[in-house]
Amino acid sequence: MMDRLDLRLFNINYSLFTDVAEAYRQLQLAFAMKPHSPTGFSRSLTLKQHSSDTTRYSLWYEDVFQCDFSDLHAAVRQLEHSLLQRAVREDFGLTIFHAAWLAKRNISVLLVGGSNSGKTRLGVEMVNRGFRLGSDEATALHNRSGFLLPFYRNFLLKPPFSAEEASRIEAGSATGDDRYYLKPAGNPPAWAAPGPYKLKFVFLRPGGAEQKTASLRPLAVEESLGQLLQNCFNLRQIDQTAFRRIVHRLDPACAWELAYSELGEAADLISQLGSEP
Amino acid sequence: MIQLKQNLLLAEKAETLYVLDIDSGRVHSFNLTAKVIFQLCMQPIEFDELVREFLGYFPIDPAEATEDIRQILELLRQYDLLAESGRRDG
Repeated sequence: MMDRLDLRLFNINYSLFTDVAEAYRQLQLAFAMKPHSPTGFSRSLTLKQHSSDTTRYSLWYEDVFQCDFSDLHAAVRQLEHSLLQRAVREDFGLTIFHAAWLAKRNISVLLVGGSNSGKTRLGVEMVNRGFRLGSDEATALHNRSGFLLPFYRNFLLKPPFSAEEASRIEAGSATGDDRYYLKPAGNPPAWAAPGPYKLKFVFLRPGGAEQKTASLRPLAVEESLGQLLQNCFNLRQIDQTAFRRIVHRLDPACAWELAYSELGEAADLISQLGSEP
Repeated sequence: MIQLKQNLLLAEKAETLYVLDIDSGRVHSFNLTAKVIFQLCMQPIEFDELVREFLGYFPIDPAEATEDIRQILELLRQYDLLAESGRRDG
């Protein structure tokens, strides 16, 4: 007899990688709750536990076998990867930006930028300032509803680590993962719920030592639109509705370029955006 | 005949028309004059007809209108926004 866990896109709690048994429990909870997403994804990834060897798992997509895993940790890691890849490559009606998403009340701040722009570390700072976490890497906009959909997991960091980070880093290598996750300093971050938000876009421009103070520069629609779409994972899946929605949400009162060198100072500036009406 | 190519997404905000070229990933913005010309090219249209239609929106000197349209079409060609046949006409 196999355990069968029907998994819906973007409705999984990945926060407990460090404790596999707890991750398994959370996955079950997530499945049991069923999606609170309004989008009703019809496709599913399914994780099955082997009946003959309960330490082994296999991943199925739409009832098509994908791969086998020797432990649940590896399976969960692959689930996360599969979710993102499927969402980017296939047409789920999502527009996905290379952006971290932090929320406070009805305001969502999207930290937009490529690799090494500081999305994750700024996201950590924002969570420390009371923001909810929607994603540290990929933010999905549902084309039809305009809802943001979360991508839950622990913050994934790249070395080198600060001394403070090093004390909280969980190396996945102990269980076959080659990545590094930042354990929460206290309680796990509060997660942002899927839904409609007032969006504020912050395009990250990390500077060097010459960048003395952090500053926000309002961006005209043309500039912010161009930058946003350059950071879109699946440009070809944007539809007319989503494009119009994006354009109408961009204006100099909600799109800025952030030049910064010091994380805390930058996070303080961004936090002010979350408190504006 | 002049006509826009496929794979363009459009959004208007105030008087500006924003166009996303899915093929190139480029974003273009058009002011009111360029927007009218762009929209007239959404269906196949001959150059002379385009000038006549444009004069219906902006009652200016026909020679000036013709020159404006030629410049805009040149930009559309430059950024590969016209269908194949449109690149040869006008």
